[in-house]
This record gives sequence, C-alpha cells and structure tokens, in this order.
Amino acid sequence: MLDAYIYETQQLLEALENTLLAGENGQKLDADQIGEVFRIMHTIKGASAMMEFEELSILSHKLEDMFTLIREGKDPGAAWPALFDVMFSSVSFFNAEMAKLLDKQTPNGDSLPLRERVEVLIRQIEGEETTPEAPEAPEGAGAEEEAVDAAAEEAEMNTTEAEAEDAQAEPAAPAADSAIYKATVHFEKDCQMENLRAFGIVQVLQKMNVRLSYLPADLSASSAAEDIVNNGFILYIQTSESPAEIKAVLDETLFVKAVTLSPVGEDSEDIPIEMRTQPEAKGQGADVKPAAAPAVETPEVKASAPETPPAPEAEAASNGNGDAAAAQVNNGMTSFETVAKQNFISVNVNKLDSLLNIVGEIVTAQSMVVNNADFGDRPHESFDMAAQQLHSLINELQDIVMSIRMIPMSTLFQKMRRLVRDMSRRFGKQIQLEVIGEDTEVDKNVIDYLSDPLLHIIRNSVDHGVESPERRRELGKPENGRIILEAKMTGSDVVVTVTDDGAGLNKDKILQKAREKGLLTKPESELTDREIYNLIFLPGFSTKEQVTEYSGRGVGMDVVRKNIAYIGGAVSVDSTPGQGTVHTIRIPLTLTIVDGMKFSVGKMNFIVPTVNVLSAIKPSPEDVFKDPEGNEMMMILGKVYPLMRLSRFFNIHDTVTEIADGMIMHLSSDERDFCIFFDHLDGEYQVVVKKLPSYLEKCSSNLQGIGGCAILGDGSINLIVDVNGLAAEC
Amino acid sequence: MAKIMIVDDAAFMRITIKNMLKKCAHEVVAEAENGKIAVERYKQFMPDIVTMDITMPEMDGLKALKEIIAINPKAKVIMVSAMGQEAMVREAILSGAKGFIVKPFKEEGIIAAIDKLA
Amino acid sequence: MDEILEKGPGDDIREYLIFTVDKIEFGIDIGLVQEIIEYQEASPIPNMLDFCSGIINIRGTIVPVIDMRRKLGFESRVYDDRACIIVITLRSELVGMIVDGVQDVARIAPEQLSDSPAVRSQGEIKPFTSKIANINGNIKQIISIEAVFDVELDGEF
Repeated sequence: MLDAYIYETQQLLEALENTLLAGENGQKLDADQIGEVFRIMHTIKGASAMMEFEELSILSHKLEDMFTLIREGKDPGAAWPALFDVMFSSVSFFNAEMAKLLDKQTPNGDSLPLRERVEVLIRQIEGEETTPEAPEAPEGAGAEEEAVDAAAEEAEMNTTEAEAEDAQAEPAAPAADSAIYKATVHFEKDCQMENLRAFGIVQVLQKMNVRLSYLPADLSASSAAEDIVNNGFILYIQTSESPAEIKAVLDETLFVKAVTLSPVGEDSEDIPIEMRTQPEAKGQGADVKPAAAPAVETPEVKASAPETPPAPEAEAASNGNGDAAAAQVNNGMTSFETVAKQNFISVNVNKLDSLLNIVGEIVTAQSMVVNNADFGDRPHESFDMAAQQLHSLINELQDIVMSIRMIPMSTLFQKMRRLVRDMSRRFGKQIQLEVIGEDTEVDKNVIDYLSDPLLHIIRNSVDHGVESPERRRELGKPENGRIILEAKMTGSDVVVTVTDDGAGLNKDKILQKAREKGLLTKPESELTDREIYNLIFLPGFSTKEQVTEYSGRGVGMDVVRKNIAYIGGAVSVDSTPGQGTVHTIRIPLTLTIVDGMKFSVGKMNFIVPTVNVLSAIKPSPEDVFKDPEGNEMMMILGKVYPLMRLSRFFNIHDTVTEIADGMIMHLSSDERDFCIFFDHLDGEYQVVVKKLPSYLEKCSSNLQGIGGCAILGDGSINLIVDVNGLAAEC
Repeated sequence: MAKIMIVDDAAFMRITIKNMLKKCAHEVVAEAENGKIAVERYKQFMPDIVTMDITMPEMDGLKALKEIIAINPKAKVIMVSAMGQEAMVREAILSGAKGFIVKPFKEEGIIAAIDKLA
Repeated sequence: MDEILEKGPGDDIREYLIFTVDKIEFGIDIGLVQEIIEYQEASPIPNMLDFCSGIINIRGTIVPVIDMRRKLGFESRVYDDRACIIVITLRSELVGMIVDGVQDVARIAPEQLSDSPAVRSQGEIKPFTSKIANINGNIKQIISIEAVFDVELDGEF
C-alpha cells in the first residue's frame, strides 16, 4: 500500500515539476497547466490524508486552495515568480518526504514555512483581483456572503422563501389532515461536512409530500456544520405521510447515527411561524411553477440572501463555468496522454535485471556447450550450423534485453534544469540551460551512476563558472550566461558535455594548489594546459574552501572522476580563460558486460577487467625483491613496480605463498601501474557485472578493491576486482 | 452481498478502498480510473453501488454521476470527496448521489455507508 | 492505514517458522521468509567476519549467508544434509541464515508470547531473542531480526 502511494506520488510530482518548468519559461501557467497542477495537488492531498501523513496533506491542501483561486480566474499577475518558487520548493519538500518513506523513515518534515508562503501568496492573489477589476463583484465571496447571511438570518429560525417554494412546488401540497413532526438527526462523529449531509436530507424530503423548516436554517453558513455537530439537525416536517416513512428516509441517509421523530401539537410554541400561517405560505407557493429544477440549482444563495445584490449569484455561476471549463481543458490534455501511454507498460527494474542476468548466463552456457562438444574426428556440420543459429539468436536476444533497459536522458536532464534554475536564483545569476540530445538513450544503470557526477559538474559551472550579471557586463559579455548540456552517441559510447561561457579555469591557481598538495608528477614546464586543467580530478585536489550549499559538501571533482570510472567511463575538462569551460564525460552505452581474466586466490575466485591487465607473468623468485621498508617489489623489463599479495590484502587462508608457485599480473590503474600476486590464472571470460548486495558490508571488515561480482555459467560466484581501489591501497 | 464499482483516478485510492472492502461481504466487481470508463463499466457490470471520486481526468465524477443516473435513476452512487469540495458535493447531491464520504476516511466509515445502501 | 487493514479477528495470531540451532528451537516471523533451500557451501568474501559464511548464488541473485551457530554463540560444526539455509528478505535484499534444521510452522497468539527473561543460561542468546513463545510448555525463542542481522526495520518482527 505504501509502495503504491509513494510510486504514484512520485509520478505526480514528476509530472508537476515538468508542468511547472514548461510554464515558467512563459512566466505563467496557462489554463491547461493550472488545471493539471490543481488536479495533482488534489490527488496528493487525498492520498496523503488517507495515509495520515498530515504535513503532506495540509501542504497539498493549501496549494490546492491556491490553485482553486487561480482556476476560478484570479490571475496571480506579479505574484507568478513567487508562486513558481513556492511550487518548486514544495515539490522538493514532497520529494524529500517520499525519499524518507522509501528509506522506511517517518516523513517528519515541517511544512509550516511553505504553508506560510502559500498563505501570503493566496492573500496577494485575492488582493490583486479586487483592485483592478469589478468592485461591484466582491471577491472572497464566501466571507461576504456569510456577512450578508448573518444579517439576513437574524431571525434564526426561518422557512426561507426558496425552501417554501420548493416544498410547495410539489404537485400535491400536504393535505389538511397533515401532521407536524419534529425530527432531530445526529450524524456519525467526524463524518464531516454535516451541513451538506443535512442538505442531502432536505433534498430527499422535498421530493416527498412535505413542508419543511429546519435549524440551522442556513445550511451554507460557515457555522452550520458545527451547529449540527453540537445540536443535531432539527427539522419540522409537515406531512400527511406516515411518520415511519419519514423516519426511514432519515435512517437510510448515509452517516446518520441517530434519529428522533415525534409529533408536535399544532399550536406548540416550537412550531415555526411559517407553518402556523399556512394559508399565506400556500398562497406564495401557488405562484411558483412546478419548475423546481432551476430554483434548486443554487438554493442556498437565494435562500440566504433575498436582499443581497445579485453579485454573489453571478459569482457562483461564473465559478461553475470556470470549473467546467477547467474540466474540459483537462479532458483534452489527458486523453492525448492516455493514448500515448497505452503502448507502454512499466516493469520493475529488478525483473529486467534478472532477465539480463539470465541472458548473460545463456551467453556463457552457450560458449561452454559449443566448446565442450567432443566429436572426435567425425564431421559435425549440423551441430556447427545449429550452434551458429543459437549464437545469432542469443545475440539478438541480448540486444533486445539491452534495448529494453535503455531509457532516454531526459529525466536526468530535467533534474539539471531544475538545479540550474534554483541555483542561479540563489546566487543572483542569470543562466540559461540549453539542452541538446535529451532523447539519447542509455542503460538504466548508466543513468543512475551519471546523475551525481553531472549534478556536481553543473553545480561547479553555475557556482564558479558563470559570472554574475554585473561582472559579465563589465567584461562585455551578454548578461545572461549559458550552460549547454549535450548528450550524443559515438559508436559504443555516449558523450555528455557540459559547456559554460563563464570565466574558465584559472591555470595558475590550479598549478599552485597541485604544487602545495604535492600532486605534480612531472615538471611544471612539461605540462600542457589541458593536463593542468585535468589536475582538478586528482584525489585530494578539491579543498573545502569552496563549500557552498550546492557545490560544497567536501567532495570534489575526484569523486566525479571516481564515479564515472566505476562505470567504465572517463571525464576530462578543457577551458579557455575568459570564454568558458567544457567538461566531457564519456561513458559506455551499457556497463553491464565486461571482458575479464579469471584467477583464484585460495578458495576465492576473481575477475579482473581485461582493460586493466598489461600482462600476466609466471614469475621467477629473483624478479621479486624488497625495498628498504620491507615492501615487495616486482621487476618487469627493467622497471620496478609495487607488488601486492592478494592473499594478504583480502585476508585469505590456504593460498600459495612461494612466488615460484603462483602467478603475477601487471595491472594499470588511473594512477599507477602495479602488480598483484595470486594462485592461479583460469582464462578469459565475458561476464555480466552485478552489484554487491549492500548487506555484505556487514559481513566483511573491508571490501575495498572489490567492485562487484559475476556469476559464471557453472554457477560459481566471482568477485570483480576494482583495480583503482586496489591501487589506492598499495 | 452487493456488487461494487470503485472509481478513482489514483490507483492508490482504489487499492485502499478495495482493501477496506475485503473485510465485508461485498464484492468489488469493477474499477475505473476516470468518469468515462466508469460509465462504460457501469453499463457493463451494473454494480449495485458505486464509489465515485470527484476530481478525475477525462470525465470528472460529477459528470459520470449524472450519466450513470441517466442510465439508471436508482443507481446508488457514493461520492468520495475531499474537504473544500463543498460546492461539488452539493451539486452531486442535487444530481442524485446517495451520499458522500470525506477523505481521509476510515474503514468503518465506508463499510457502514455501503452496508446502509446495500 | 496498515494498522486498520491488519485488525480483525484472528489476525493477531502470527505464523512463525520454527528451526533448530544446537537442539534449541527458535522461531522467525514467516512473513520475512522467502524460501528454504538445502545447505550449500558458500563462496568466501574478502576480510570475512567470523559469523559470515560467504555468498551463494540463488538463481542469479548473490545472497550473503550467515552461520546461525556462530552468530548465536554456539560451537560451529560441519553441517549435514539436515541443515538448511533459510532465505529471508531484509530491506528488499535477500539474506540467508544457515540453521541445523527446519521443523514446522507454528501459529502463535500474542498471549503465548512473553518478553525474554533478562538472564539466560546460554548468555549469548539473549540479545538475539526478542520474545519467548510458550506453546503448551514447549518453549521457542523468537529471534530478533534487528539484533541478529544488525539492521533497523520498520514494524515488529
């Protein structure tokens, strides 16, 4: 149940955000969009209330109220920018609460600050309308009406004209032998809108042969519901029907808890005056045509205010039209969406993962079958043909499965739009984000891994790249800065670039920092500009100097590089001083299949991605020696590399210890080349990469150096070596 | 034992109501996510009782209510409303809704309402 | 919401899967149990902690396995073919627990449950046991998933 709630709310929030972003360019929402936002807030409100997430439901209620006003034709005018701000903040608030729920936490955020902002806006929107337009049709009709009502209903108990008309409009008026009953109706506790429930009773009774009078007389008054809760709904019913009949009607009404019905004497003090002066009432009623319908349409308005100017009624009518119009607008829009949606189904990602896993295993199993077939010297043409066909079918299957997992970058880019919008506001910058190629499709996993690095890069561009409008003016640049976010396919890679027209990177500062931190590996004079710029990706380069709400959090560009490297991608940066910076992220289209070399240490099996392997060597003991600190080193072709015994690093028992009995692999990582020592090399494989279960962190004291795992065709589990992780430890 | 149709654009609400009704002797025979589908399903299943959300895309609950009442003047439709929809509830009552229930509601509330109509 | 749904006659009785470790009977809320599979040797992982047996492959899913003997502080031993792995769902991931054997499913009413006494002869069992079930004098210890697996869950199990 909670899952359904979260899922649906998140979908609605996404749609809401898109609508808001679409509207903000034009600085306002059009009627379609207003209807859409209203409907979304309404649905979230209802669902949140059912789940008893009070903060969420009252906030959405407030927002719904605001959009009710707008939908009814009040133009926020100058308040639009503030309104967009509040809406975006609210979307963030809801999203944060959904995240908490997903995390099995209580959604405990306080929506009060947001609600206060909405209150201010509502007042503003209501105020704006009155000033320029229609002083004759006062807004906030509810309040006005009530004021008038109060005056009109001084005499509390009243058979109001309209009701009398309705009653009399029935073909047969109560016969002379009719009796008068007093009924008191109590509704169930907390059933809400008691005044309308009473209104429902009145409607049903009026279809019968009765005359009615009731208390509270004005069921549309703001106090009516409360009155009914406290005192019950009191009716005087003059009818020739049997009391049992009347009682049945009352009892059958939904949420009626108790009914008392008793006859009252003709001249009892209790009886309202109107009922005592029957002839007069009848006379009035006779004038009325049996056309009860139009009068019934808005009886409360008529009833409450015989002396009021026609304004409220006109208002009510126009409200009605507004609603209808909005509803129609809604219709047009959603029917289009529905058509588009029907060709799609949503699938749980876990199912896609298992599908991919199985296909991966089929690939492996296929190669085992084909390679194991032992025909001796006999020809085996038909087997070869079948094997060939199986091979191409499996390839096709693999392609289809991969393509199912592909999703467009647009959601990710949408997130960036929002980020740029929020940040430029916060930093007083004017930045336009241009998005190109958002329909480029990549594997779902790639999107997941790409999100954080991209956020980080764009934060940097907004925060440190693009200058303030004043500064840009001084520099003779257009005041509006630009960030271009582009995705495109190049063969088996997707290239995502983030280009800004800001100040560019400061070469001297970067060099200075790299020097201070001892990150330079070759003389400064030999470094190209590009090499200098790319120093920012080195671990330990970023400092906390630049911590701001968006760019900070103590992580730097090295984290960006690490995340992207994890999915087999690369990131680089180039810059022209004064003109801007380009970040280029290159990622493989799919990241789930990897070519690897399999080896073992004791009982543990590992796979190291082939791209990281420089060579595998059967070592002789004289190639290995110790440096003065006692670290083992390996000599390859005259060069010396650190040697890491995996048995020691991973704490594995019962392994080969003599150098001569084991194997050495020469690996390259982003930072350095090094060697590992292990027991046995088992050949080359193509494997589907799986994430390690997160619970494993509780089962091991250190998982550094392990990037994932893979299941081979024989069912065995192999750990995938994270070469960069290992390099950091040796 | 009454046949019930649940109309709501939010799947969550439909599931919730359905789960609540599991506890009573009535059977949910149909669900609809907007008014238009609701009218079609009404003709198809002729449920005894309909729970009808008000704010829905495509065709709202009021319109659907009116069409259903046009098909069967004795149709028993319970509107599912929210606070703030007084005007629409009023219209629903005038259009022949048997009553309404206000979100958020409790299991006992909706079951009592349906039992009363059944 | 959920609270409402779960109320109702008979619903307070919960079902527990009863298993044994070192001849002691333990129970675990059946709602958590995904499946029970035959004992199989697990592949070790780097820097594995004492109570963990490694990881196994269940139809393509990598599942960490913990050894309940070691976790609950009993002597470890070589498992025979009566030993099983109870696979449970823990925060939407699968985790396996190796037990000596699985007995049956017991329906236990709230009144048959009592809080674990503060002191147990086995000492080590206590923190991992949340309740004691007494079924006609037959004692079963209901394990606390949160304590055994060192996680925080919603709801009571």
